[in-house]
Amino acid sequence: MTTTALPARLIRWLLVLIAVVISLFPFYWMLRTALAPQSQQLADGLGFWPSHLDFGNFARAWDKANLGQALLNGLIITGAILLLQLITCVPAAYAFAKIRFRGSGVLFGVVLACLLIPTQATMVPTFIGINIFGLGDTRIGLVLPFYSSAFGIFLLRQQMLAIPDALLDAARTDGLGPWRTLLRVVVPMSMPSIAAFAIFSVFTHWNDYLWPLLVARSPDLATPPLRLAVFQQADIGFDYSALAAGAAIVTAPILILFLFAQRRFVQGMAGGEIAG
Amino acid sequence: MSTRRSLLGTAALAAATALALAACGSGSGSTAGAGGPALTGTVAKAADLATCKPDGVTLKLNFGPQSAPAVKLAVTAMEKKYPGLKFDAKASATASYNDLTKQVVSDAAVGKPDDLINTGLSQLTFWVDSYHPAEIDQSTLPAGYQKQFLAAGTANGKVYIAPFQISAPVLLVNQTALKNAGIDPSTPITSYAELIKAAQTLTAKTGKPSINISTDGLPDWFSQGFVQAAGGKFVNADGSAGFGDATGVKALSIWSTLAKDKVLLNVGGTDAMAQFMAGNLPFMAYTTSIVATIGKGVGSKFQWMPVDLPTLNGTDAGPLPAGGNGWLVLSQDPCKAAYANAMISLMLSKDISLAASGTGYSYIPVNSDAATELLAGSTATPQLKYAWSYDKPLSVWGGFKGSATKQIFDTLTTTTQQLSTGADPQAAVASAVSQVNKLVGK
Amino acid sequence: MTTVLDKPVPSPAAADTLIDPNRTRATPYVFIAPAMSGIGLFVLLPALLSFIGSFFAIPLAPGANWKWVGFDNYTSVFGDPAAHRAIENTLLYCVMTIIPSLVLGLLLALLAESLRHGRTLVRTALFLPMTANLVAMAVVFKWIFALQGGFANQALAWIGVAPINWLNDTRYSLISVALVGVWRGVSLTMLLFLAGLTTIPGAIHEAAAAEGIRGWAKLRTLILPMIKPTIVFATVLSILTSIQAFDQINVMTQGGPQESSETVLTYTWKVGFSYFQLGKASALSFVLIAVLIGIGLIRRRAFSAEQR
Repeated sequence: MTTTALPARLIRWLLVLIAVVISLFPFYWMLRTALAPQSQQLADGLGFWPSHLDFGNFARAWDKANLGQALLNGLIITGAILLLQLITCVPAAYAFAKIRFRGSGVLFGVVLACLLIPTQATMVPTFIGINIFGLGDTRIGLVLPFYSSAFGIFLLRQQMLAIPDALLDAARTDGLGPWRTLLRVVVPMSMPSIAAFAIFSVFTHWNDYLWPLLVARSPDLATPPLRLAVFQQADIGFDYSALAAGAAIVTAPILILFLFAQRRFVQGMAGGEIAG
Repeated sequence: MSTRRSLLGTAALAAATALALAACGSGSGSTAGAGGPALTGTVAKAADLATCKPDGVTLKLNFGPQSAPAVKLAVTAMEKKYPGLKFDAKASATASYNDLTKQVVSDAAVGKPDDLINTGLSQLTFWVDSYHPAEIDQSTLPAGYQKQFLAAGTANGKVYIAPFQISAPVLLVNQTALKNAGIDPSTPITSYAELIKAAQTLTAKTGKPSINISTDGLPDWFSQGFVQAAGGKFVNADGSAGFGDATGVKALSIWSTLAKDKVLLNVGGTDAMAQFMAGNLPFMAYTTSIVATIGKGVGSKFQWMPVDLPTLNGTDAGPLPAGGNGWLVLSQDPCKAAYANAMISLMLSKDISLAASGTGYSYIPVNSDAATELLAGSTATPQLKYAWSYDKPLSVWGGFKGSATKQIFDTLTTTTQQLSTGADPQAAVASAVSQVNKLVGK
Repeated sequence: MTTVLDKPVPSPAAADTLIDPNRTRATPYVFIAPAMSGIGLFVLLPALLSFIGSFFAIPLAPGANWKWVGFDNYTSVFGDPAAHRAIENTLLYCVMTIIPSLVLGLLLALLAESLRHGRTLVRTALFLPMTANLVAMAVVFKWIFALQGGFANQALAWIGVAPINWLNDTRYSLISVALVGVWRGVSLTMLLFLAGLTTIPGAIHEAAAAEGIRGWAKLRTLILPMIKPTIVFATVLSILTSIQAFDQINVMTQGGPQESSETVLTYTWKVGFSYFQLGKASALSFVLIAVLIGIGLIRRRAFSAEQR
């Protein structure tokens, strides 16, 4: 490491500071708007700090947008998807990483190809199909299309490739069958990538807007982003203070999760890309 | 090589499944119009209520938040009157009539068809053309119901929608702002010329745009209002666009004239509303139904009033389109249809009408007894009185071919947005006319 | 993820040849069956169905007949000025988001990497946009970009610039939603580049320092070639993200004004679920899928050509 000249370091820090400010500003502005009294929201010369704090906006958002129910829905749907994805993807990733079987190369090729086809592009036929089976406007309809994940298989497989074969041999010598090997050896060894994928999955499905927008017709099925979006298009749309409070409530769970799990997530995601 | 073969295999398998699915889908094939939506089954003719038993019957309703308080009362009353009758009646979150229609169509598509829906009056032809709904049973209309409103739910001489919450386009005026700019607020502003002059004066004084005519929420409604009030025709008798003549162009040029004068605040309806309530926007064209909300938002910050929408020449050469919504029966079961009709009758009565047109949403009451009571009540501010007693003639809203309702709405959104940037009205209107005519096949 | 596409899929370990073949023959298939069924049912099948459906008029109601219309849906898509507009906007949006995301993401990754103090804090701050709920942030950005009372115009006023009608002016609406896309995109590319940079062995940095190679020269001759897979990966991911942009457009502009921010995805949505023309929407979807797969193929080809 060379010592950099002071001016260069200063410029570097200045650039970093600008980036951090831009990155965080929308979050700050969200909180600032959410905490300022509604009467102040359009007052001329918006200050960087509200004249006094008003938590009433949160109560208004919570009540009017029925966010309690939405958060619960979000939790149930995100949780169900996560659970199903782990159940389907972990064994598949293990098979693709460590077991030799006919067609494995081809099938994994299919998985990779599917990484390129996002749900958004297939929403029309998926929606028609979900309807044909009467699953529109149900929780099952919200969860089912995501019970497996090509990305999950891919990411988990990358890490499982790194598990030493000697370990698996030892497990086998100990008389462990493939299922128990999976549960007792592979899963514990792959915890970092499982955690990373779990966080990724929760991010994706908690934040998903398009699919619930299509499938969740009843208001009591709405997920947090859906509820917030409808809330801002309704008559209440002019109430920026309540909207910002609602946005904060919807954002907070994921943000907190990220702050706690950041290291895991970053390592896992990075690992998935490079180990290939 | 083997990769390619297996991919082909996968594709073939998927194709086979897909075709099987498609075949399943067409199994119980009904007569669906190509391209447009359709319900499965047909709307039933109402049975005689005496032959129906309420036990185990659940009515599914679809309505927006604007009708929620009234529906709640009506549901309680119905459950009392017909013990055993149940309701699936949760308000949708959206108040937009296009979105509500989308919801009803999707409900039907997901196999949960609605029995009784609250639909925007703008959607009349959509339902009539693609769903063949049942006629409203006029014999059961309650005492005090103002039958002149039925016209807003009538197509081809038959009443399909029972108007429930009626509104009219109005101009909201911040009188304090006018006074501050040296304009006497008691001088009526009835013509475009007067409106433009006042807006110019205000903008000269404040340096800010002074008027908004929303282009995102109700562009079709305001367009039709301006054209008809100027004496023009919005929809021709043959279903083609009638606003392409000189009157139509002059009437619609209000947006572009205001934009060219730099007095038009070109933002969305909700943003404009926020600005009006904050006292930053002196004029706003909106609806009588929002008067109550504005009243709460403004409080005692400034003096304001809703006034009749200014017209091209200052005189009403034709009626404004009726805004608001009404009830439409879509039930496929004769008994459910009968209960739906009974419920409509209840909802148009004085008591429920009070909840539909009160201080929450200031719609024009459809029941005259309700109007009398509201106007005599202590909550009647001058602004609300204006809204509740609005009695100018109103026409049907829209009227183009039903299957293109949303496309025409979007076309008019684009047109009014073009005008809002000061586009040449002649060209913008001509383009709108040709697009609408293409959509309706004229 | 897609970097892997070009490399031969590594053969699973030789160790499992030791496993008793009789006992394990079915096991791997049992292991992959649930996951593969999901992919087949909800990725491959819909992709295929959107192709098949694009030749039909599809009623929304279940149990109603699909009607064969041949190439009508495609004629309708390609003869539709609104669809042209949507395609054009999507391309513009891609240019406006992908390039800044990549350049800024790399720059920030290099900067964050070079910090000696507060590195974790800076990284966390820069990662946050990636995790945020896009609908929630779009609500906030809508307020920031409001013509009157919005922060963006207030900031412009401080430097003496006239207010801009960010969301309701056809010249700015697409830029406004693209700015949100960049704000979020940079966060993701930075994460990827940071991961890529950590793979460069310290010895390389030392050697470069000893040779006196630094700054731009070091970036161009050493770092960029070494993180090439990451660059390719980040590019593909950025393209995918940009083509799929929907959330913030739906919330902030609804594709308007005058369709100036309508993209292929928002337009597909409108055609399918507002106009109920599911056949035409399928055609649009299939065009989108074809383009995405095309991008994957072209990139793969370019990459393997380079390696040869």
